[in-house]
Amino acid sequence: MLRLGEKISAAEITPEAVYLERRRFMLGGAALALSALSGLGHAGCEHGNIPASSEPLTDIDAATHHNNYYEFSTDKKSVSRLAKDFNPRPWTVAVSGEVRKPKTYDIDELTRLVHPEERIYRLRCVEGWSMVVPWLGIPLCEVLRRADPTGKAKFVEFVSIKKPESMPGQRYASLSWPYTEGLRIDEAMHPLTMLVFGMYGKPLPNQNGAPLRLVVPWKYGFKSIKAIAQIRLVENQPLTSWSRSAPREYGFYANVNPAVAHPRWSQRRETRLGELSKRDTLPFNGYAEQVAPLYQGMDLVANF
Amino acid sequence: MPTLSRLAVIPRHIGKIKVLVLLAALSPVAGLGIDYYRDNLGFDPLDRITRSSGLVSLVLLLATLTITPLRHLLTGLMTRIHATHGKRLSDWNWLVKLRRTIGLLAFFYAAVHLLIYFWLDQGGSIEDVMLDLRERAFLAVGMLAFVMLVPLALTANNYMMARLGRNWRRLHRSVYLIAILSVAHFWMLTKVGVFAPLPYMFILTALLGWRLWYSWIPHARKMIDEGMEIPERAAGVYPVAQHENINKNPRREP
Repeated sequence: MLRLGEKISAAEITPEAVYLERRRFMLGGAALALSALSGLGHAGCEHGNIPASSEPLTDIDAATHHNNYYEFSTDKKSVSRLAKDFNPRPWTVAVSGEVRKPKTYDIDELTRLVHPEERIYRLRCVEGWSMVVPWLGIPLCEVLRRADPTGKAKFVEFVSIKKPESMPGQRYASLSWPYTEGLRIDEAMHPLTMLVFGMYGKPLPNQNGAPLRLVVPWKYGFKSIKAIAQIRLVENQPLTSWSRSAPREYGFYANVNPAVAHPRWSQRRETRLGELSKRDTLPFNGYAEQVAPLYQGMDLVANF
Repeated sequence: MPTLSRLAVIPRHIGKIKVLVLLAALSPVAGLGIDYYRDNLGFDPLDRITRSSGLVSLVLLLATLTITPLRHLLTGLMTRIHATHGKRLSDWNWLVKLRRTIGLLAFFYAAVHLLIYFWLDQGGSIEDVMLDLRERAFLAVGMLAFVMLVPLALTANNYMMARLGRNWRRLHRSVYLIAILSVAHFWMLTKVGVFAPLPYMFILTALLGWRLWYSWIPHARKMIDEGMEIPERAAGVYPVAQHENINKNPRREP
């Protein structure tokens, strides 16, 4: 499962803390086995087939200085500067709602829940640019399964932190704060869906959503909510921040789909950060093989 | 006002001033060229050059609309401070002569903007452009503004002014609509929660608002010169007959 890029060594891509953590897991091999078996009476998370990426990684400088993060600024270039003093510790993440075992995790407990994985994913922004990033995190499924969802848990609602004193963009009503996103439960449980706390072998930078963000690689970037404070399992489809602000432009599903036009950005093609020419956008951002079955029989133009 | 009186010599150096305006207006494109060779266009270079060219075009377009109100403002100001020079509207005629240069530069940047979109964004495919135009109204609005700008650029010379006569003015008044379309284009492509076009909208509103206000004040109080370009003025000749012409055909709009 642990995918290390061919071009970078493990030492380069693994932050010290995570590396040490990994060693601890490995040393106590039983612990690793235990974490894999700790089904708590429920089926474990399936690993699925995580596609290997042979594409060149986006320059780390680009991926960490070209950010859509309205909590800090609507200007992509300013986010890294404005997020510099944001403090992602202490931090808790509450898992609640339609679950039998609600729990509030300390962030450091959550990141150690299971063996972290590095996965190289494409991320396609709805604005027509994209990047290839080595993320470090755990499958979201691992967290959800431990909460033991009830039969009513049909959707997962994610809520970001609201902290206008250190997030200057929240002082303006550019969106409804706190930022809210959502997934259908099967999307949330899908093996590609990750909770991420690192990138390029380092802890997640503030501007990329520290300390914890979602990464859903087959959906437009805005679905991959940053600075998660709450994960709620709910019965009804949650109203997301972007759907609330512009329902005709941003649907709940927001699957990368070159066939569904946006009033401002062509979705047929995209610019990989750093490149001057465009390339074709693939359905489900190239992850159709893994995720298309989730949407069988659904009209993806109507459910955009 | 000895310092201000030196302004009187400006018209004699209009050629040099035009060159300065040209150089200043071409500096953004030079800057982009340098950044391109230094690989310094940022993480989304296509977006950067598309936006920059469009924005410079809009700024220059608004600058052309600033000339007339500016002449009136400066005349009023010089009258107020009893300057030796600049109390007559005609003292600022040299500004009118800059307008053609600025307007042509606005057209140049609009053309660059369009070519970047066509060649780099759409890969030179007319088919893709047509599909894109149907999907995104802001593209159609921008394209319309450009198409309307073409006849203005083609007639921005003394020959066409003389040839078209009064129709030349009528034709060139379409710049008001072009400016409105340009700002609308900017708004429509701007994402929710971002207000980048706001200053340009305010400036355009002020510039057009001034014209509306000016056309409403009693005609007798108006200064005789409306600031429109006429072949004689463009050629650097200031005939006395100019006043007679205008009195024969009083026009309400500046």
